[in-house]
Parts: sequence; C-alpha cells; structure tokens
Amino acid sequence: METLTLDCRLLEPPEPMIKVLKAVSRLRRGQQIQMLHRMRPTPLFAKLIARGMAYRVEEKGSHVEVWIWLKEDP
Amino acid sequence: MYQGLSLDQAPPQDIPFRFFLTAPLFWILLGLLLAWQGGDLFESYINLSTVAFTHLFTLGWLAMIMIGAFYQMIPVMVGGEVPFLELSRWVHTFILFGLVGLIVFLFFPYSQLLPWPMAALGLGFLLFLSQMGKTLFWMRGGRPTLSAMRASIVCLALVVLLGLAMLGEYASWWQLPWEREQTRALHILFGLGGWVGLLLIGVSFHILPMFYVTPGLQGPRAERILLHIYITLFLLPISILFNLPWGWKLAASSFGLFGLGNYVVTMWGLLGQRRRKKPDPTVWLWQWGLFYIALFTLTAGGLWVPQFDSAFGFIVLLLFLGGAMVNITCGMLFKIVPFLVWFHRFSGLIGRVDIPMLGDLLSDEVQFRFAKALNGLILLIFASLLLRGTFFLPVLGVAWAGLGFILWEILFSVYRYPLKLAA
Repeated sequence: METLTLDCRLLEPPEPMIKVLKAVSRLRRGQQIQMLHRMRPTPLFAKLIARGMAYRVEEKGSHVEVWIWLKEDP
Repeated sequence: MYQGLSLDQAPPQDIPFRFFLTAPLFWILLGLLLAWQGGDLFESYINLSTVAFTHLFTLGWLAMIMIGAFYQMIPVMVGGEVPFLELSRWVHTFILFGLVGLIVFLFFPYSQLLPWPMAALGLGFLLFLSQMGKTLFWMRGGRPTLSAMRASIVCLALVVLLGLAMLGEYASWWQLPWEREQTRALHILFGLGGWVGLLLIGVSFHILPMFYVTPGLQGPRAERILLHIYITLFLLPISILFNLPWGWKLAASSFGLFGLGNYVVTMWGLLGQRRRKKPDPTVWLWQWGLFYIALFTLTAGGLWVPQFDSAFGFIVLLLFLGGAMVNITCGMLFKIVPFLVWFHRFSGLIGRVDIPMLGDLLSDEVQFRFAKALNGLILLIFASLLLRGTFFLPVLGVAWAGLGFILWEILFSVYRYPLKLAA
C-alpha cells in the first residue's frame, strides 16, 4: 500500500485535523495515511468514520500513530 | 500521555455561547458603575455599591465565563457526560435574573426585594452544582485537572451558601454564629482561591499544553501546586472561624501563596517552551495574567497584617481580579471561541469547500489591539488608585464600558461568522 506520512506533532489545533482531512478527501484505494501526533487526536475519529474511513491507533510512547485507509480496502 | 480534547461529546455551541455572550454585558455595567461612583467604590468593603461592583465582576463576568466553560470543558476535557444538558438554559436564566435582582436590591435595599434574587441565584447555582457534581464525582481518575475541578465545585457550593447566608443576615432574617467580617473573609477565600483559582489552575494544566504545544503537565509538579493550595483552603478557614491572631492566618495563607508562586513560575516556563514562538496575543494575555498573579502572591499576605489599611486590600484584590483574571479569561475566550465556532460549523466541510481558518474568524491583529487597550486601561486604573487620583476613575469607567462593548462585538461577530461559498 502506498503510504502518505503526515507529521502533525508540532502543529497547534486545528491544523492537524485540517491537514489530515484534506489528505483524506484525496485518498484513493490502495493508499493509506500515517498520521504522527503528540497526543491521541480523539476529535478526528468521528470525522474519519463519517467520511467512510477506517483507522487504527498505535501508541508509540513519545507520540501516537494513526493509520487511515478507505473502509473498502482490506 | 493525555488525551487532549474529546470533542465527540461536545455540547451544542449555543450552550457555552449563551454564557460567553452575556458576560461582556456585565463588563459594560461594571464600567458604567465605575464611571458613576468613581473612587467611592474603593472606600469600604461594606459599601453597598462596592458589593454591587464586586458581584457584577465575580458573578456577571467571571461566573458566566466559567460556567459556560464548564459546560464545554467537562465533556471534552475529562470525558464526562453532563446530565440534562438542556437545564443550562435555566441555569443561565436564574443566575442572570438573580444577579440583576441582587444589584437592584443593593441600590434599593428593601428587604421585600430580596427573596427573589436569592431564590433565583440559589436555584441557578443548585442546578449547575447538581449537574457538575454528579458528573465530576462519578468519574474515575484523579489527575490534577480533574482534582482541581472537583475542589473548585465544592468551593463554589460554599461560596454560594455563604453569600446567601450573608444576604439573609443583612436583611435581618437570621443571625450567623460568627462575625460578618469572618463570613466575608470565608466567602472571598472560597470564591477567589477555591472556585476561581482552582478552576483556572486545573484547566490551564490541560489547555496550555494542548493549544500551545508545550510539554505536558499532569504529574507530580501539578499535584504539588494544588496540594499547597488545598492546605491553605483547609487551614485558613479554621484560623478565620476561630479568630486566631493574624500571624496564624498569614502562616495558613503562605502555603497557598507558595503554590500560586510555583504555578506562575511553572506556567511562565511552559509558555517559554512552546514549539512555535510566533507572536500570539493569547500568550501575551496569559503572560500579563501571570504577572498580576505574581504581584498578588507577593502582596496578599499583607491582607492579614493590621498595619495595612483597606486601600491596600482593594489594590491586592484588584491585582487578582482586575489584573490577572481579566487577562486570563480574555486570553481563554480568544482561544476557545474561534475554535468552538470553527469546529461546530466548519470542520465538517474540510476538503469539500474552502472554509475559514481560525485567523479568519478572529485575527491576531484584533486580539492584539484589544489586549493592548485592556492592559493600558488596567494600568491607568491602578495608577489612579495608587496615586490617589481617583478623579480620573469616571473617565476610565467609560473607557472600560466601551471596551466591554467592543469585546461583545468581537465575540458576537465570531459566533455569527458566515460561511462564504465560492460561486
């Protein structure tokens, strides 16, 4: 899968959400987004679901990774 | 790692905005009262117009902002669900009419007028405390922000009870078992140190790292700050109620003042460590607020020293209320209000149409201009009081009212910002 990495760790609200949702609006099958954030971006999750996305959150100690892909993709 | 904001559970924006848009109206009334009464407001604590002035600020401005913020923050910051959210409308109505009734009573002190504002204020706060108390005390966890919010609510309950008790005593309905000065001291302590101070401190532990990308602050350092304040909130009421010598009261206060000083140093350091050091008007307002808290911390012990007169006491309390709290609440509003409007009205359209950014809703330039005007005015008011030039106060009062009108316009324009779609 093609991965687009978005490093949002040093961005102030709401820039992480803007960056990710703009990328989500352009996402195609076979592509995924790896979002890096300093905290769990809980406000984002409902918006991802509303746009037909699936996601997975991985806590990495110093940061959080959110993997986002189209629900139709495996 | 802390969770940031949980905006899935955010209340509709109308709920906090009902309170946020009412508060500046009392700011305007404050200015008009200052213009009318001038230096007379700072002659005596028991002057009824002074009491009115104080409560226009503490109930009209501070409580409105803080209650609106509570409705917003409880679900999103600590993940709790506020029961019967629609009751917020009644909380607002009761407190609004109760405060207006209280002010009318203070200028026309007929005891027949008193039951209505007392009942309204009592009911309004009872509803609010029931909602928040159930949410906060049913939640699990004890991180500093949650601990501070719980303690703040308990202090609010005590403030309201003491306030209603004092009103009834003033109307000669009952006699409290201690002197009115003692009741007033407890009322001020739990109000400023407990309700206002703890809420501010607890919330700032969360939102400063969140909004300004600073290191987190929910560990032992935050707990130590709160512990010192809790010690004072326990010891000082005892020394007040038992009428201990002033040295004991000063000693009891010293813990909380030390905690407050630690808080100023900690938060100033945090702001200095923010990742993006671009000029930010809300940071500037926070820094002014912390500066005034520092001055308050250095002088507040003098409130117990008999050699210092009431003029000194007014200055000290104004440092906290008029200096620190005004700056910090404005800084928080300028950060939270655009974010709330943006999130509720525009965030769902990202990637579909061009949406306004936070800077479009409320520009840094407008915020800086307001912040400079505000702090210039605060300094002039302090200068008038310190240099005994109180004949300037009426003019400054008009300016204060004008600034309140500008603030209301700013907040309302953000609230009503239109979505301009491309043709």
